[in-house]
Amino acid sequence: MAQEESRTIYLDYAATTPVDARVLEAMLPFMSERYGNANSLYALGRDAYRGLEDARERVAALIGANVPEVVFTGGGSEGDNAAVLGISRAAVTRGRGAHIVVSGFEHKAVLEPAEYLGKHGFEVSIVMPRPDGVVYADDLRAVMRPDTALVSVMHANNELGTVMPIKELAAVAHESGAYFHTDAVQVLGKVAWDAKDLGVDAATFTGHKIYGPKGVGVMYLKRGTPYEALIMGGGQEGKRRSGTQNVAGAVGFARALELMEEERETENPRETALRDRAIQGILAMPNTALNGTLDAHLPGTANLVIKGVEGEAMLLQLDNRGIAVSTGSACSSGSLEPSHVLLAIGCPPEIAHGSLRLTIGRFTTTEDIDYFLDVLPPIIERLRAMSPVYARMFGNGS
Amino acid sequence: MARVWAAMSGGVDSSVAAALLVEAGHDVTGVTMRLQGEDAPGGCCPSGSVRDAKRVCDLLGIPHYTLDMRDVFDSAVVEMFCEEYAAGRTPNPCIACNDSVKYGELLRRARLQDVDLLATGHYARISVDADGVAWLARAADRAKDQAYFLYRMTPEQLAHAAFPVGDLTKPDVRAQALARGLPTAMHAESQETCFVPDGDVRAFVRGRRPEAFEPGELVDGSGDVVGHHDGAVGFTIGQRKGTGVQRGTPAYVTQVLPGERRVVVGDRADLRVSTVWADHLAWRGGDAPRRVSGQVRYRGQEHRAIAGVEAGRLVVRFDSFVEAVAPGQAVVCRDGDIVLGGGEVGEAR
Repeated sequence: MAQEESRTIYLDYAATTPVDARVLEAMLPFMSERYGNANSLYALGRDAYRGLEDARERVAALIGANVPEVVFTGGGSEGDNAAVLGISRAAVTRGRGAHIVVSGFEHKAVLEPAEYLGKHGFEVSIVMPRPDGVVYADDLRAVMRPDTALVSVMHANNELGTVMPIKELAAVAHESGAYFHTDAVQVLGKVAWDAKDLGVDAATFTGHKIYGPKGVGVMYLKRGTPYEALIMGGGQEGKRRSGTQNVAGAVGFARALELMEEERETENPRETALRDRAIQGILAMPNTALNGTLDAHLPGTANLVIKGVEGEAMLLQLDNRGIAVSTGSACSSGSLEPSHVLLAIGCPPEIAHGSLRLTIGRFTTTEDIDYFLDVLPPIIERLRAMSPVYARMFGNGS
Repeated sequence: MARVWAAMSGGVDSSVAAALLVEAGHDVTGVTMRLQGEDAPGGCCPSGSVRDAKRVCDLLGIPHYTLDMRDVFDSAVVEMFCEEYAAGRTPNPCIACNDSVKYGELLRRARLQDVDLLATGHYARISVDADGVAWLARAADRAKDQAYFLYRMTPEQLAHAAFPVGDLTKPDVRAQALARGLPTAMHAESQETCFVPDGDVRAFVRGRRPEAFEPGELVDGSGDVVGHHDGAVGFTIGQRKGTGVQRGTPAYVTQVLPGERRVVVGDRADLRVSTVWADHLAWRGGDAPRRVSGQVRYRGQEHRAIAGVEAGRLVVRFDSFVEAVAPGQAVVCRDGDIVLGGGEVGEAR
């Protein structure tokens, strides 16, 4: 334990990704010689502006947006907060009702702003995912009201990897005249993402899930969508997000997204095959099950329950062997709570405690998966042998 | 070399405990228990924090984990605390925490990781007898000795426990922390109950057990009404301040009777008892009466006594009077430095 293992098997790409060397290379000039403030009138400023706007155009082209609809932000949580709060408040001033709908397994960056609005004059309805981990259009329609201001449903769930029918969900929102936002942080680059085709009014993306830097994101905001800025000040980003732009970050984001697009056709099947290899290996152990459907799914994500095992005990043992995985989202300051996502799809708390999320990415190899599959079963067997819960549920034995 | 988990509160004592274990060549991992939700004031030990513990571990070059233990802390410590006060007793939550949380759930989780020893920053020692059985013993620093809080530990728990600062004095511990440049070196002592904001026990219990607060009377020994209260909960035997009773001589709380909504007050002499009957025993001293030194509160004076088990209760007969022994407090007995055990006071006369 004191000696940190030299070998690191990183299987938590949904938590964050390393910056791709090609992305870093694109960013470096904007952290050194091209350091200008993109809003300055002199040559250095104009040069930075060129880099920033070039990045914006490339992003716009890749997500099916018009150039002014791309707003650079400080990341995923900021984008979610800005969209949920900014659109809801502004929509009310344009005559929409103080009612919003969010799904029950959104990221906390959507759920908490929604709760905040709930304490400040809004009514909040929750549309629950079904046990397969998908939010369905019919279920959304059932909670819509004629004057609903905003609907926010994530494109892909960060813990399960399930993908929502966003086009249908956006259409349901629009039937009632509501605006539609999607947290698309996990899905970007992994599906062909086209704002016009999907018909969404707003979407959130972040750089560090696509081999770009942390601390930079994009909010897609369709022209004409009511919006009140969350961060006020210098009026940058068309007054939608003040603050001196992170030019290097924006350039890194654009380059990262390009690489995702270029490599998707080969990378998705490669990651899917590795994921399925891992899933098969885990399901070969008794009393294990997959969470969420694989029918509509991200290529590299798998979420499983390993019954009769405490997730924390399993993670600590895997960490000790150099393997980085998680039981759910990484956002609870290193402490392990039963996942609100698994609870939302009807998983009992004691089972949710034994969940394992692995997310495969660009640098995962077959050897990594095989090492993981060598290390995991003995750990599970030992923990089960020591677990009174497992003995009670399944009798003794493995 | 042993595999060790060092339980770290973010305070100076547990930081030095971890450092000493690392320097002794053990395979050490720091762990911090997350005991309360984000909304609570402080954590365990208001001066410490997860961040401090992590920074100390970084400095020592060891891994650190934060473990979510809010459920067990709430049920085994906080709820028990409120329940006991609502029943008119005076609980000791630190004893419950050591028993159920640190050397209960945390030790269980440590064993799942093949950990041999769970170390804490307590001032106490472990003494192994001729038969190889572990006994809890007083710390070298008598003024800081915390064996009272650990009296419930079983031989099995002690076999997996380590108290690395038990041989040191508090000034030594600070000096060792400073010498190593530990960021926690100058952290203040934590004194109050860690989960009660501003030490206001009555307000805290009222928040959780509002139904237990019914107005009633303060009476004297002859049953005459001498005042009123807005809830008997939270009054403690021996308490002088806060009764509102005005009379010639100071009035001390001598009995708390929530069932009758009554608090009885009397003179200081009424607080004297010579015999204590205790329940919920953790007692390794045998049934036959034996000579001990007994303690009825942390940092309380030690009193010579004869202790033995009668009809399942520990009976401690003190050689001289002892003052203000509240039901729910622990009575702990020692033979020399060795802790024989004790129990929760049920009656004192």
